[in-house]
Amino acid sequence: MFIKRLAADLVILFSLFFLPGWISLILGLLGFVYFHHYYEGVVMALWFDLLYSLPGPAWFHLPLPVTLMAIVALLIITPVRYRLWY
Amino acid sequence: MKMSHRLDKSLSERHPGFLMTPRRVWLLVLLFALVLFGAPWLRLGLESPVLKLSYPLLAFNRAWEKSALSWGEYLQQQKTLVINNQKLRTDNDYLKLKLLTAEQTVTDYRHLRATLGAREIQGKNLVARVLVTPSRATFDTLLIDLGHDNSSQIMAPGLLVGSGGVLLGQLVTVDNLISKVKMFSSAGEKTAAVIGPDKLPVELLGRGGGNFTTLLPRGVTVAIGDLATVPIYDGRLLAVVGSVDNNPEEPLQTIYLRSPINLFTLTWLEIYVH
Repeated sequence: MFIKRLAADLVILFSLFFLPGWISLILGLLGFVYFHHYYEGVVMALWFDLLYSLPGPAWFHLPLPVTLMAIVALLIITPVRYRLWY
Repeated sequence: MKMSHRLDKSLSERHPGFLMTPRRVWLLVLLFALVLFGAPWLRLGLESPVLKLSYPLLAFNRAWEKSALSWGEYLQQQKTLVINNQKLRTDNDYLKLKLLTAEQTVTDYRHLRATLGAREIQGKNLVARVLVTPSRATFDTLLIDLGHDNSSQIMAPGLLVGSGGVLLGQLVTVDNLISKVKMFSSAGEKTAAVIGPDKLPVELLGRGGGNFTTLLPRGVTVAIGDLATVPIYDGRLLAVVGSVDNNPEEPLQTIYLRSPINLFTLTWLEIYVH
């Protein structure tokens, strides 16, 4: 599981630089669903935000919108996947 | 003997590490609050290192994309190259003639502006290579490979960015090697402009990807191809009217505009240093 997780981390990290943003977001979401307590996803969301995002009206002037969404996703998805899979 | 299908241990006993305990929930809530309210400090402290660390990968990706594209084009369009070459030679001769005429027009125009006392647009433009187009960044932002360290002139947030005289956006973040550009067409961004030969004052609303919309009363005539310019930025061109939705049932007509520059295939940019 550790190897899988590491591989997924690297894939998502490299997708930030080499693939369109929406693919990185989908991969990150899949990471939250597949791995338990996927805190690396939050770190990568922060990286994505610092690299690309700018506060604006499209995201309700949220300062780091993807990071905030990642934390909410972690809060919601972790207990749900726990109940569904175990 | 009767078999029970019930598991011996409860869910939390079997996988104690997987459980979202109240403590973890509170920690995440705390993290959420920290990100929400401490974002300016996070940006201040972390943005520069992130941009520095990302620069080699972004530059490599840009170079790789460019070479892959040229190889693909070479393989696909080898047969049409000769035909294109002949056509381009003819076009080149024609354009040289046109340029001579245009140069004369520009001289006349400058003379007229000087006579009328209008302010001359001065300043040398910086040219920057686009590292990331809006197709990569989902926020309609651009990353360019010019910053404090590799620019011949002072770069500062707020400088205008364009291509071929068309306004695109403004510098928002300037780091050592990379700068971040926010497009005027970013979703929800509002820009004061004037449309058409009558210079109708409007507020253009960004729709992302180089698109804008604006609302005007139905009685006002706007034609497809009319230009939208920004008076506060020396009357530079921002967008062209693409279509007009003049529904008789609506009190207002919706004007759809688009930038003449395709943001998704942009390779080079100009930074207008005044």
